[in-house]
Amino acid sequence: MEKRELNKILKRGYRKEYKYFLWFAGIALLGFVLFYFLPILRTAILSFTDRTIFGADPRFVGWDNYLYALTEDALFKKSLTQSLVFAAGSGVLVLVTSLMLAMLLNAKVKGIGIFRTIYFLPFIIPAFAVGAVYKNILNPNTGLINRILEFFGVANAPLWYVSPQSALLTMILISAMGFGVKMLVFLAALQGIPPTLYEVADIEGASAFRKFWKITLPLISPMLFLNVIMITIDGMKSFSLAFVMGNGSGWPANSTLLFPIYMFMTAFNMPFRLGYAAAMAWLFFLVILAMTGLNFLISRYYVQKDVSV
Amino acid sequence: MKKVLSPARRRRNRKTALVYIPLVLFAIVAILPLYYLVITAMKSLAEASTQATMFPHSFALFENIRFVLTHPDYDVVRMFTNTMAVFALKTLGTTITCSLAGYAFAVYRFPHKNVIFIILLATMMIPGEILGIPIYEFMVNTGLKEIAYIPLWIACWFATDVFMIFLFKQFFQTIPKAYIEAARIDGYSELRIFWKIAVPLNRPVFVTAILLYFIGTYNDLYGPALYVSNQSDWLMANSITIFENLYRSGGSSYLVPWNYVSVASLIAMVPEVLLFSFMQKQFMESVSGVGIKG
Repeated sequence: MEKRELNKILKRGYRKEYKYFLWFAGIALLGFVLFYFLPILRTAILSFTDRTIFGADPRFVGWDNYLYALTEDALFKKSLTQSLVFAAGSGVLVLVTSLMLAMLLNAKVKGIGIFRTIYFLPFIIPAFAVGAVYKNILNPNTGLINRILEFFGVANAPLWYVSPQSALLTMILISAMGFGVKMLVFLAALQGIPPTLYEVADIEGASAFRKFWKITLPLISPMLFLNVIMITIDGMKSFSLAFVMGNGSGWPANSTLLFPIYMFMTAFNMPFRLGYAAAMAWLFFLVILAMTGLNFLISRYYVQKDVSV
Repeated sequence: MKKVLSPARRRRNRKTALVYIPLVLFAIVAILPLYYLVITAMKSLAEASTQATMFPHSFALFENIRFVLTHPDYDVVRMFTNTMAVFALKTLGTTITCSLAGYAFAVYRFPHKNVIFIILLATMMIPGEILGIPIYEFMVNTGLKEIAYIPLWIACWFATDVFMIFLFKQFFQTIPKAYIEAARIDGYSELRIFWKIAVPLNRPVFVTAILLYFIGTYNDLYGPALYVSNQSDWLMANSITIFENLYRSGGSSYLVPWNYVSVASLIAMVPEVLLFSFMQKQFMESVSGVGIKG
């Protein structure tokens, strides 16, 4: 009897909290339905049709779009592979750079505030300007880098973004400059580590490497995991840089054609094949889902569970 | 004895030097793009398009600026106004709705709340294209595509940026429950508690959110490339292409007037740089708290 009474009171309490929750988060839930749930449903339906934006009545084509993408469309395979290569390459680069820079910025030396601002500069230069700057610096004939290489007597200086062989690699290198937010996340995590831990390690005579391996890395592992997830997804979804470097179409010779660019071209350039693009978007989603799942599996081996940093 | 540095002290000095060397090296790498942009903007057309000089031999900054500003396709006032209007709407909408949603997830307790939150978080994995296709279809079919940039900012008013909700939630979680209880006993309404207690206590996160969101979307080319077609509606991002393609004549190799492109890029960066320098101090203070709280 008493327990039922208690449950009743609890439920009434929950009801009130629930009502307030809906006041505040109602718009977010509505947004979820309007901008996530319904579009996903619609994309799923579209992917089984041959809909184009201006075309007449779309026909139901079954699994044809999926089969075409998986078996016949060479560009599908090429762009997906390139996106995977890009995500892996740029992911590792960004992760290493951002962690290294965060550790540098965490040093307690004079003027560190100025360096923090300077390191954030690449982040405030918009992607469209970044692309232009690097195209200029890396221009094979007139660019700064090749001039320097020439000066040091390098005969066959690389063609960078102009050659299909090196364009993707060039883009990966440039993307390393996108460390801004990840660096800040690492910096925040590093600042949460109690200095006493390092002092104890110093007394015990631990080497710098050992301190990094046994103290720093385990303690920032939750943030490391967050960054790995974000970097992987960002890399797969990367659009702006490739759009600028490849003139919006994967130039030269589709070598910078990342998957989002290809999907964009299929859906929004003539002849606006929305149905086929929708099928590709779903396949892409499955790939990202698999990669995130893989990340979660791997994370078991490096994320420290009982860290409260 | 006093003048001789102790071994520990000497070791610390050496360590400080070891920190400064990479710090300065990376600082150069970080500054290089901006520096190059600025000096290229100063070069004459002949120098900019043929030579990669680190220190400009010619000084044509004012001519370049005049050329860019007087170019018939480059309507700087209009593009600037357009850009500011769109990004003010986006940033305002996201900050207001996401802070409210983040507060709701942080403060109120009821069964299965975490399930709802995890479902929301999972949407971060969905590629924009999967959502973009039907939304594009909808915008074209309803004719909203060309009206007042609706496709660019409407979603922002529905708290669709889950990362922002997450960010706000992390911060609002740190408000002591007792403050809220006390305010309720004093007869504050829930909205007033949010406005008078939660917001003032977490001002830095609002600065961070506004800055991160503004820069993040300013860098994004997807929306403008998709929804902005009329030349009179162009945003700052579109202005670069005018000069990149200035001397393009169909062929694959063509001369790019980097000096004009650089000037246009620098002008396009003005809003970001202004915002960053106004908010920088608070921003740098608040980012050190992003990860630790919660």
